[in-house]
Amino acid sequence: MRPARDDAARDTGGAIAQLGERLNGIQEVVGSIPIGSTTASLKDVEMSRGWRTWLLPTLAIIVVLVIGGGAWLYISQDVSAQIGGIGGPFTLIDGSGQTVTDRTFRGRFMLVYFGYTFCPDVCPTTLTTVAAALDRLGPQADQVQPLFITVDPARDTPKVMHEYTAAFSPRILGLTGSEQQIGAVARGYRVYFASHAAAGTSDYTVDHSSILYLMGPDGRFVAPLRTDQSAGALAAEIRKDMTER
Amino acid sequence: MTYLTLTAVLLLLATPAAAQTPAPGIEVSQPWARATAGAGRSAAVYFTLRDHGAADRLTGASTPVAGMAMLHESTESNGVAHMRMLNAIELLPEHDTVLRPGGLHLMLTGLNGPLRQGQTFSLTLTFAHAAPVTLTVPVLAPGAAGP
Repeated sequence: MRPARDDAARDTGGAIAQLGERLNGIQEVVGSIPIGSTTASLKDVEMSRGWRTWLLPTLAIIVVLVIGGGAWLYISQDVSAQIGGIGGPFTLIDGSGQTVTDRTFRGRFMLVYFGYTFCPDVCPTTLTTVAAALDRLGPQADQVQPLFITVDPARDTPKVMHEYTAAFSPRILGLTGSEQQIGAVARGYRVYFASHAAAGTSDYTVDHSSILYLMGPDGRFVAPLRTDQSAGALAAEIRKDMTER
Repeated sequence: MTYLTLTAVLLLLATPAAAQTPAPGIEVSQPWARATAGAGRSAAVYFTLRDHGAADRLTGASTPVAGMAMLHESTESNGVAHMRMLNAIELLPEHDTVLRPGGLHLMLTGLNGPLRQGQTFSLTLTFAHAAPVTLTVPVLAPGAAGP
């Protein structure tokens, strides 16, 4: 045990001595930079450069793999969720009080948007864009049925929905339903909505998902479309999605 | 980009108006509202504010056509549209504050009747410092994207 401890002490002492030498070495380099040292330093720099040239691409590859892998997982989950999930059957009431289902629109694309007629800004803006995009689609617009589904069935009766959508375009069909029917279609489309009382009045506003859903002639989900793009961009995206199917 | 383009367009449109009204204070340009669609229980008013004086705040509005006018902002996060009420909209000197569809707007509720395309109505804006400004707002089509 004793010799071992001596060894350890000697090793420690040796290490301290080595550290001291290194410190001296550093002091020497810092204090005076002789030509020889400079050459050595340049070599070190070259070596470290070589090390860095490998390190950065390696890191970049790792980063790309991690992000790419994550994105792939995200997209594949998203796609499988879309294929298996978004949309599905619904039963609602149109502006004339007639019952319609998802099957009513088979053979045509459905462009589905959720909102409410009390909504003063985002919903009119979106419906304006949708109406203008349909105009730009020309004859192809006949293959697209835009649906405006209310998330506020308490206030949005069939008559209210009809008058509201008609103000934007006769092509847009306003749909309402019972709370259960609206709840079911909102769940199917993964739509979030929550009411908020407007201060000082009995009015309330509703936060709601603001995505346009393009559904195929078979009723299956095709693509989500942004609502904050221009009518031209929206029309181009719809046309592209239609021709790719 | 759309916002920048819109701002640029509004700036261009606002320039002649600015030349006509050299008085200091708050200049309001390009006011418009959408005609109410259907039952028409709410409406949004849009305009551009330019503060020619010190920093100020738009604190409220009133109009004979509606029971209440509220400052609102539409925002979108993770695909969900939210609308929040603002107590005031900050105005910076010589800086355009644009109320536009999908962003800042004045929400009118308790409308006395539907707003019809082609009609105009009076609107008074109140500020923390500057004198109130009364303007005439033209009503455009329900599907109008701007003046």
